[in-house]
Amino acid sequence: MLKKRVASVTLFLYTGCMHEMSIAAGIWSTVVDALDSGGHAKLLNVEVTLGEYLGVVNESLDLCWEAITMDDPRAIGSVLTLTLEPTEVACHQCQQTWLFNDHRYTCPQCGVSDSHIERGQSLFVNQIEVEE
Amino acid sequence: MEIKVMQNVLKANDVFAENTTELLKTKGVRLFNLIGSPGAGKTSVLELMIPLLKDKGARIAVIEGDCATARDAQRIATLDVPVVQINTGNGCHLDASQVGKVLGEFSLDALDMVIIENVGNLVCPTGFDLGADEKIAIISVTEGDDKPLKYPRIFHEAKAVILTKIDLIPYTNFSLQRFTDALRSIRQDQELFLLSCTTGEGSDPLVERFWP
Repeated sequence: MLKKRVASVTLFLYTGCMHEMSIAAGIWSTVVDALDSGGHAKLLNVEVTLGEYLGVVNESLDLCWEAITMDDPRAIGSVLTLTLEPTEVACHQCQQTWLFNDHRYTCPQCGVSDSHIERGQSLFVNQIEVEE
Repeated sequence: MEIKVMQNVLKANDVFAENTTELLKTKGVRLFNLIGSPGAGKTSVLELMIPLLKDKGARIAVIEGDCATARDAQRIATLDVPVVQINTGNGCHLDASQVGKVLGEFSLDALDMVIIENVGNLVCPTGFDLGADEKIAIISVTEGDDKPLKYPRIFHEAKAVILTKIDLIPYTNFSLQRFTDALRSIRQDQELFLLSCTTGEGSDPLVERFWP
């Protein structure tokens, strides 16, 4: 009885092969809105600000972009141009900020590990380039 | 021709997450997001803890996230709590829209907490806000004491960490000191819970943490 109920509420929700796929899908959803509203026939380039802390592998994102746009003739051959937003960590104790280059959460000034991510989680579609 | 868009792509997920937070707040239901590798013992922790929490009077529902099968949901259903399985296909994490949709399967007025067991993965689920009150990291002794340093993000976001399979420490080179040092270098206020789902050792403090 219980098992039957479990099976009946099983959902199949496809999100893609990795988190890059979710991110590509999110970018595409935003871009489609812009293409539709402007009635544009050919997409060339999408300028994206990508937070370093999102942990995106650029090559994977490109691959996912290709896969997700392949069914829309307007977008075939379009490319993503990424601007990386560096990760900045901020200390709650002394307000020092530092770049996350070496993946350390310990404050270089006061030596305490009590921090939050100040910057580096953005995912913005800044602009698109379309054929005139 | 260039067209300004200036859209936050993650906003869609964030809106779903905020809606979930708001809904559960009005219902007085707490939401926990359990994150850990496949095989860390996430389902076993639930199997151990749910009967203990129920004994204390807690009314619990569970959302299970896996790529495939309803195996985990079937295990949880035997504990006689409401459970929904989400299969993500090849997806490596749950997102806020999925969680928002399945919350409708539960009678929220009859619940105190909903526990999400995220897709087994120490990395990707961390980046997707589900609207939970907190993320809980689950890691097992057999994964090694260096994992917080190698996969730090979840240990930075999770205030509570459950270390499972502690009965296996004598048979491995796992150093609790190295593990604790690694955790503290990421987040000094981390709460560490040592647990063996085989022997039940360490369950009391966890029950207290989730149902004070």
